[in-house]
Amino acid sequence: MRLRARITNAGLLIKMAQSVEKLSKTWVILFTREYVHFIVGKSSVSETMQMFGQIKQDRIFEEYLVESALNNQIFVEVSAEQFVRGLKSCHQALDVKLKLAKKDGWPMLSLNITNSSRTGNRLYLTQDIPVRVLQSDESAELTEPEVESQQVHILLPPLNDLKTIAERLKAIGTHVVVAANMNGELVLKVVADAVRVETSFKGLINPELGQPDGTPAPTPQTALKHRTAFAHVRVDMRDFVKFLHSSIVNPKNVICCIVDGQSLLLYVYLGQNTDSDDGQFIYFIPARSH
Amino acid sequence: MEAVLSSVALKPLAKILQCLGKIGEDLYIQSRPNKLLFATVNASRSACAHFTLHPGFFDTYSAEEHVVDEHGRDTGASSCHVLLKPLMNIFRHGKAMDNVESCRMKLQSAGDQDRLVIVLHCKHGVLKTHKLHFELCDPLAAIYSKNASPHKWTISSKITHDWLLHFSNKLEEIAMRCKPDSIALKSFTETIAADEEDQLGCRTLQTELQVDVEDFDMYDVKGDSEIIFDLKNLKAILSFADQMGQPVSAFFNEAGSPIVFTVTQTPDLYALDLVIATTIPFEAEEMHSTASRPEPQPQGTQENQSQHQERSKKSMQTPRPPQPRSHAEIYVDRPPNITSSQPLPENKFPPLQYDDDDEMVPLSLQNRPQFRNLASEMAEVERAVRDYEHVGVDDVLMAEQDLDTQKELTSQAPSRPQLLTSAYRQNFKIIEIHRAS
Repeated sequence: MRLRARITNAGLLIKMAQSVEKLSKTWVILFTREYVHFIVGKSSVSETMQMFGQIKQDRIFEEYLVESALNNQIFVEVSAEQFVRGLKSCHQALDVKLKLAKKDGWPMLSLNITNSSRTGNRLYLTQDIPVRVLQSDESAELTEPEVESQQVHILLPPLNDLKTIAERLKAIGTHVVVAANMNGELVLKVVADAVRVETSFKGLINPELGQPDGTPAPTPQTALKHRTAFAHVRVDMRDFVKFLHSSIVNPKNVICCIVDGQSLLLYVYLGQNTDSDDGQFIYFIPARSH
Repeated sequence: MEAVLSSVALKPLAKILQCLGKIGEDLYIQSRPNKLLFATVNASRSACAHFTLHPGFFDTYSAEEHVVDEHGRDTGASSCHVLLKPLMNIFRHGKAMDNVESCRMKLQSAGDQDRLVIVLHCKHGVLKTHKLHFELCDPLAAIYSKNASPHKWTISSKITHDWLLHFSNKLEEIAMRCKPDSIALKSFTETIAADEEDQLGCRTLQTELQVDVEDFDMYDVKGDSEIIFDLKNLKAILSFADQMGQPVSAFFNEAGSPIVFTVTQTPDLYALDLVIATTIPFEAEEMHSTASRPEPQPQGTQENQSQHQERSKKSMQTPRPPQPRSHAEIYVDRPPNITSSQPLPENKFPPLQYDDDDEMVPLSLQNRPQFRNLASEMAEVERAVRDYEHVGVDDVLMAEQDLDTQKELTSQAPSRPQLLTSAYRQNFKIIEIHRAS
């Protein structure tokens, strides 16, 4: 099992790590030949929020090498806090080398960082982030959840705006109803005993979803009859706020898909377009009844 | 002891108390004719901080030589201790502190009432008087010698601040490896054997930092030295140095003997010595264990237990790198004092507690929270009135006179070293800008 790389875009990697830091205490990073994936939450438990992130390796690494008996895939579990702390030291570093190493019998993601101090002198830094290498049976559980096709898909307004609103709504109720239609309208609704708050957006874009080969996606049978009919999903406010932490990466395109009454799927694209190679987070938030 | 501080000295005093508060709970005050000493020691007696405040820090400072009354008591209260937290609250920097024009501190022993009296002279003639119980004690002094330390360095606190940013917040101890031409800092945690339960929770981020010795203002290390010490106490002094904009110096020897960090502000304002115990590596201690020193604190026994566990683990497993073990204690000495020869009657001093007299009475009406029940408000007014009565009209007048003379004094004596003048001027500038706009 071998893994090594030189980090060329530490800033992006730090931002990616920071935006998923709050989701869970530990997450899994999957290194494959082509992609680096961040995985939060096990799919065997479909009741919890999950996140799948990916970025093509050449966007953040160079001299990248990954080898393993498991189809050249390496799954490592890291502590979110430690990973972010270690990675932050790479900020504006002159050179960063990453490798999977064993120290005192423990597996570590070892970062060798060359930086310059305030006075311009060299500063050599080693950050050893403890990891746990997952066995093949554990990694088999980490698959994206299967969901029914959505009724509505809509581009969200800027996440920073949503975040301010969500943080206000959080003080009012524990759950939020997200509703949208194919006519560019989105509503966030919080109901408490004494008050009922609705925030609505108009004139949003309902993008055309395509398949990887470029042909338009087939219209699902569950589609709503009218463009103005709303699909609703009631989710935990904390889950929704956690998703909004991805505003750190300042994404241009965030697509919100609603499977009526069942789940909320959010596609966050890190790049300029909706190219998943430039970096993508997919959040799966399950519906909560009461 | 009696000291008067001007408003510019209050902020440094607050920072000094804050720094002491991060280390210990009690403040040991010792007044000498030529300086005032503030000291504290942490609960496990592994760190001890000493502040020396020179007369230049104060507008006026006076302390008597030791005076002993017929009971063998030191009436000058040259050495005593008070709780640090209430004292910190008095000087905590905030809006209320901006109104303070000067501060008078006095150690007062009248009959059975030992009090540290702090009078804050605020704007519009408002006086705030705080009284804290103090208990006479022998002076606190850690045994250490900076001159005998073979290794030393001095560095800007900004650079050390950058270093510590890289370490995990939860890290407790740090190892410093110094060689004549290089220095490395490493996070230090107990190594856990690899075949124990494979969980991430028990493992921590390991950080190692190699710094160019060119970054130091002064670097004089004669040989190799690797020492391990507590990071929390180090952070306390570094943040203090950072706030004061002063460099930090370290004086150290080998593992087991204490490391001393110092911050001084010249000329003759104050000096801080922070003494931190360093850890003796496991193997070295085992060699010494024939002369087994009784552990003085309950903590020590716990450590012994864990040591035994470690040892039994070690015997079962493959050899591992040396395990640093228990802390060497800094011997905090209490030099013989005049009072100590005649033991004090036990019941003579009230236990260290706070009665109504000591509660802080906010006299300025603007600062009072809006929602408060009437009863407590009445009690407060009564107390405020009592405080005024206690101070007395004559005192107020005298205080004002004193203030006038102070102004004269400061204008006459420009040679007095100025404290934080830059910060003071900055504030002044801001006010001007506001007026202009």
